[in-house]
Amino acid sequence: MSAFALRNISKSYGTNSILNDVSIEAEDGEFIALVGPSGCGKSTLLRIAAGLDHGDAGSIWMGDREITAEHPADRNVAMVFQSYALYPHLTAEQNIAVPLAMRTLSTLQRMPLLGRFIAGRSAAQAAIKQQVLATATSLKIDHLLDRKPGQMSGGQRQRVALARALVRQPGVFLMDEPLSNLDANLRVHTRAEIVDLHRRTGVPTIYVTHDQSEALSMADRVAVMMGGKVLQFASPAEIYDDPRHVEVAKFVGSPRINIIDAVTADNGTVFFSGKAVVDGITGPVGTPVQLAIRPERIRLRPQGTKGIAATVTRLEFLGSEVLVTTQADGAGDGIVIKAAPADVTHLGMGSPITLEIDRDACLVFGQDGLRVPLRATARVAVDA
Amino acid sequence: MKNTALFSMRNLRLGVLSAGALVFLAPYIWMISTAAKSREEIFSSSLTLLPQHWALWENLAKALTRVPMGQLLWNGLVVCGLIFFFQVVIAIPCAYAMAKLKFRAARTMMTLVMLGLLIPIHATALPIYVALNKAGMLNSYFALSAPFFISVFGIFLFLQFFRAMPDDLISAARLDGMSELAIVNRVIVPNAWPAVTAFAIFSVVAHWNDLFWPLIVITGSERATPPLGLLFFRAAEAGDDYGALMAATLIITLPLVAAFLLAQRRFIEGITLTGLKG
Repeated sequence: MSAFALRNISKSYGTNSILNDVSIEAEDGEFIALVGPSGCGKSTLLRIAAGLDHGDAGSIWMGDREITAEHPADRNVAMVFQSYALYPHLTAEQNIAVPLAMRTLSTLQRMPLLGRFIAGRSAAQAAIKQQVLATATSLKIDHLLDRKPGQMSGGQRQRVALARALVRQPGVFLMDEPLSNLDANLRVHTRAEIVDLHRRTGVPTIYVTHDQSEALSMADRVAVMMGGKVLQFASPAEIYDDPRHVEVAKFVGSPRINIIDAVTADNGTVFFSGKAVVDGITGPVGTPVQLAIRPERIRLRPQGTKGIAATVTRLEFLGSEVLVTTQADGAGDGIVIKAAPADVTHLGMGSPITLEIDRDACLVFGQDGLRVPLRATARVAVDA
Repeated sequence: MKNTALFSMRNLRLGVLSAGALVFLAPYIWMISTAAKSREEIFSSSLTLLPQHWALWENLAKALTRVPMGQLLWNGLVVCGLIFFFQVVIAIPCAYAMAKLKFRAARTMMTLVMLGLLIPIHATALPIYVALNKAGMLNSYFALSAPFFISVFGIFLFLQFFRAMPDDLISAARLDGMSELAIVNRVIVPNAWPAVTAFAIFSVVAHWNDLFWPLIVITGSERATPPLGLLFFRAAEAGDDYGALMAATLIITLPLVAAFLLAQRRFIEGITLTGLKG
């Protein structure tokens, strides 16, 4: 039984299908990232999970309790919004206290003047204050409690928003691109803090982002969404090394994976630039396929060694590594290789070079975008 | 070099604006001047801005004693207060629903609001008058204020303002456990003060100065609003005593002027804010 599950969710506006039979589940204490380009339906899915939007089909489960039809407030979910959505007219303390006040105080007790005379209000309020302070202290924002959102920096507002979500001890945390309004430096720092916070609280978390590096670095499992479908839902390592769909391979990883259009030949062999690089592809001869190779899986060799001949067209120095763009026959836009700076000191624009590609570095995708399984054949004719 | 730029763009702009301001202020200044003049001086052939004999106090005394000025101001206050209160209470939830909730009649309602903006009070005055007459409610605060309780202009103004409010804020409030009514009371209204202030100016100024509607539904002076009181004053008492008439006008315009001067900054903030977002 998973702690939180979205099962077979579909949603469309008119004839425009936003979500198509999407299922995601989070185990207890698990951090799930939903990643995809904008417009892939990931935010809509999150809003459906929160109860702010409703799917046309499918169900939502919190443990063994179905919450599909429940009001957002009754689901005990907490959401952190991209814009933080703090109440501008309330101080940080009042902002954090809102969910508790709405839950524990009655309507009468919340009345501005009359409430003072209703029994039990001051005790309840003291308890709320205590909880707010504890949460604020754990997020190191206790010194900001009497400031209004307008007087805080982006990072501080972000923490207040986290505190407001955390204070109600939710059954699941939903985060909608909470870091995208922060500057790059703070983003990496806050990333680690959110993961820490998640480890401490153990609340299952669904985290929506369009940044694949954020998803890979933070999550236990990543769901890659595209066009309203989950293309792959697996651990970050599996998503990166063993993508099930060419779009997943293209979306994940920076610099982008090299894609080469090719055609299968005899014996299921794929040729690239006149050299056979992969064999053992099932299916008829002459099938068009896409060959995908990660930039760090290609090795640079001196000209004349065995492999694929290419020419350097661009060098980008990034400090710890260098991106080498090369042009080879039949490689379309060029092949990008990630190399160590020491290995490319002798290279310049136009340098001739040889690319060495391992068979197991190659991912082969069919016309439908799905991975083509490779037969574990003897390596007959691989000469690259 | 700095001082030689007498005909700079800045000075030119200032000049044009000052001339404009003078044109708009002239009647008011002339009114004050007349209020301070004696009757003989008003009808003398020479035109002077400053009176030769100050008669301001006599005129003010006449204005205050010959009409129930206190009653007039009180009526104005009650009517404007009633109208403004109900307009806001009706327009804010309505505008919130139209701006942020999804429901089937939203489009139709928007069309109706636009239509409502196009229809002047003069077109509906007669049927409303007949209805009030049949109900025996003429000559009452209700007759003065009720036709204005639903302000399509107010709905429109708040609608534009609320549309600019982030949806996430309302989503967050729903997740925090607020009902729609609580969202309006605790999230929308506290953040809509600029719009409410802007609307207050339009509403109060329009209804404080309104002569058309009170003239239709009010016949006696005990429910007369300030402009209508002035009209009675002119017709019955003053005749050609323009000094006293202008003094009375000065008194009834004073509350608005004072209110504006006191809250000037907030008023301008309110108008520019809604102007930018609208």
